[in-house]
Amino acid sequence: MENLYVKATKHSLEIDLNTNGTIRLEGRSFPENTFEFYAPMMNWIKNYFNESPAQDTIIDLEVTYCNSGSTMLFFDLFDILVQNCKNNNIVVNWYYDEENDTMEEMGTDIKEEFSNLNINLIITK
Amino acid sequence: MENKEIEKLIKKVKNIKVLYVEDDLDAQEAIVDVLETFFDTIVTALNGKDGLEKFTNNNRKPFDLIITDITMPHIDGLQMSKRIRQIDEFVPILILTSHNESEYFLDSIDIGIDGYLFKPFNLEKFLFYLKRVTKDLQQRFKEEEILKSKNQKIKDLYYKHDCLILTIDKNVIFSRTDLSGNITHVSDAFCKISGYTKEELLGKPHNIIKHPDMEDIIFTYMWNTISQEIEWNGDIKNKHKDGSYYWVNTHIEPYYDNNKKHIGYSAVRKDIASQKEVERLNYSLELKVEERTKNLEIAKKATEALHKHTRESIDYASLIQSSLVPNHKIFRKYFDDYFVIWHPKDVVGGDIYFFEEINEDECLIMIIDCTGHGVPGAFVTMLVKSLQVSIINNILANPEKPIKTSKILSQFSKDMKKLLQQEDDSSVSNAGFDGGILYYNKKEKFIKYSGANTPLFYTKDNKLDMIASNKHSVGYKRSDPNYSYTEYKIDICEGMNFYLTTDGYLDQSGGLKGFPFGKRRFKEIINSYHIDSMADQQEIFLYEMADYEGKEERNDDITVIGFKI
Repeated sequence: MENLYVKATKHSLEIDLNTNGTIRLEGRSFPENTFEFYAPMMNWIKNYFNESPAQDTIIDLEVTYCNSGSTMLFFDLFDILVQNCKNNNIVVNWYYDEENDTMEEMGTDIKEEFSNLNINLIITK
Repeated sequence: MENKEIEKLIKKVKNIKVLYVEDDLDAQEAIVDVLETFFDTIVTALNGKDGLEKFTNNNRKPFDLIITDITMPHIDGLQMSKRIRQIDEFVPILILTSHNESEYFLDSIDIGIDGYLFKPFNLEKFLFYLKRVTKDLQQRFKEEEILKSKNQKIKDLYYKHDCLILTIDKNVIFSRTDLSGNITHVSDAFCKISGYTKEELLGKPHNIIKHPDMEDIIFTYMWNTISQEIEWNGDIKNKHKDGSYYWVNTHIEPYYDNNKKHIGYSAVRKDIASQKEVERLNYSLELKVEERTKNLEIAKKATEALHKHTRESIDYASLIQSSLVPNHKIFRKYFDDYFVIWHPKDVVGGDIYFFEEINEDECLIMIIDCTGHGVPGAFVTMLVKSLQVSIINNILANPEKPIKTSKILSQFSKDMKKLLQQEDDSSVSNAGFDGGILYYNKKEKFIKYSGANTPLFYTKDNKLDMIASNKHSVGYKRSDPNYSYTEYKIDICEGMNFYLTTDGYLDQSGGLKGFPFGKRRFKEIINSYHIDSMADQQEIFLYEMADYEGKEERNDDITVIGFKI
């Protein structure tokens, strides 16, 4: 299995997925066709847990803007994490700017919805 | 003569070659001793015959000075001198003799003797003559040197000239013809480019290399020009011996003999194969560009037509979608002061709102944000509208049943999942909506509200409140058809303000960091301006959004509804 790196665009996140267990998504997300766009990322994560997950999986999310389609995608992503959290040590760090109440709320909602995941809400400023 | 002067003289004459002729060996030996102090090279001869032979067989280096006795066997000194003079007009000759007769003097003058010394050897006198002949010798050496260098220069020039001729022959495509155009001379370069040998070309008419592609009129014009002794220049395609062709730029001019009589023509040519190749490529490139441009223009027109068609189609769709949104009359019937902002992002959109009157005192307001925006979003709104009609009909058909906003939401969810076959994961489509259902009972003065990811903001006694609504979307694959939405009830009094918004307004990116607008800012606007009229507040909502959005693009459809009780 190889690492996956996708550069950020005007409408999509920087995607940095490493087989050593560090996963990082950063930026703004409102691509035209969300699920199609993020399919390679979702497949990578599924394969990662199926094939060779690292001892610790650390997921850093620093999303500054996200449309409703992308919100749904994140919920799908968290579903995958929930499916794998029993057998893996997964830590999710949700970073948000103190001025960004929308992303703060989204982090809070996710933490509430996926209460069996280890999610840290971290203010970046 | 002073010693210094003698030394100087010796230096000057040291290198000169001396022939000394004397038949008396004793005398010869004695004089040679003296002469050796002056000269490095002294050749002796025993008589005039011997001297003459030695003078002529000089081993390539001619003698510079002759010193001779007169009376000697075979040929005497004067006869020898006479002969030498016939060979060399300038070589200095000194006579060294014991004779004192005037006859000899006269002969000596006739012969052109340069000095006359008497035995015994007088050094002073010798030095006097030596000095004189040295002057002449120096002059002579100088002249010889100049001549030698001139000769060398001429030799060099000849050599260079020969080389140049060779180079020209090798590199310049040159030919000469007589007046009728028969070849009289060709260069190697001409032979090389045309493929013929010199022998094959000489005497032949020049049109042996004429290519059939060249039009006759060009040659007619050329002959007209050059026969008037005017130079001609032009690009010519010539035929190679093997039938192929080659391009040359040709310059032809009249050729004259030494008497300036016009006897033919000479021509030089430049190989322009690469230039012609570039011209050919350029031309074909131009043709290609022209063709592509034409194609592009056709494509552009087609695209424009298609775009116009699509645009007209969407404009018409917009007309249809607009007919779904409620007439403002019905708003006015229930509210004196209200506003509606409905801005689909792309002419049509996924945001829609409904206003349904149940009876004189009861109405329903629905604000709905369907999946996506643009045309796909608009499709979903049409679907939602049809579901909504059936739900409302059901309500109207059962007036005894109390209206429950939560039930309406879950009914939507069930119907939608069923209609789009989104009841399990295998479904291809995944459409749904977020939205809020607000029931207003004017008579009994209360409002009920249920929402899916759609908060309700309201003020009571200048205090702002927000009903966050359930975080559960309607109709999607993920959506639970049995999800029970919360129903909130709010008692109302005069002066209360209510605000409903889809996420388009709240999530628009902008500001310095490109963050979403956010609920915090939305609340700040309400807090600051809720006492103003709804019409004024509409202006403020629009202004605040434009200001925040700045140069960012619009992300989504925007719908905001506000009303005052």
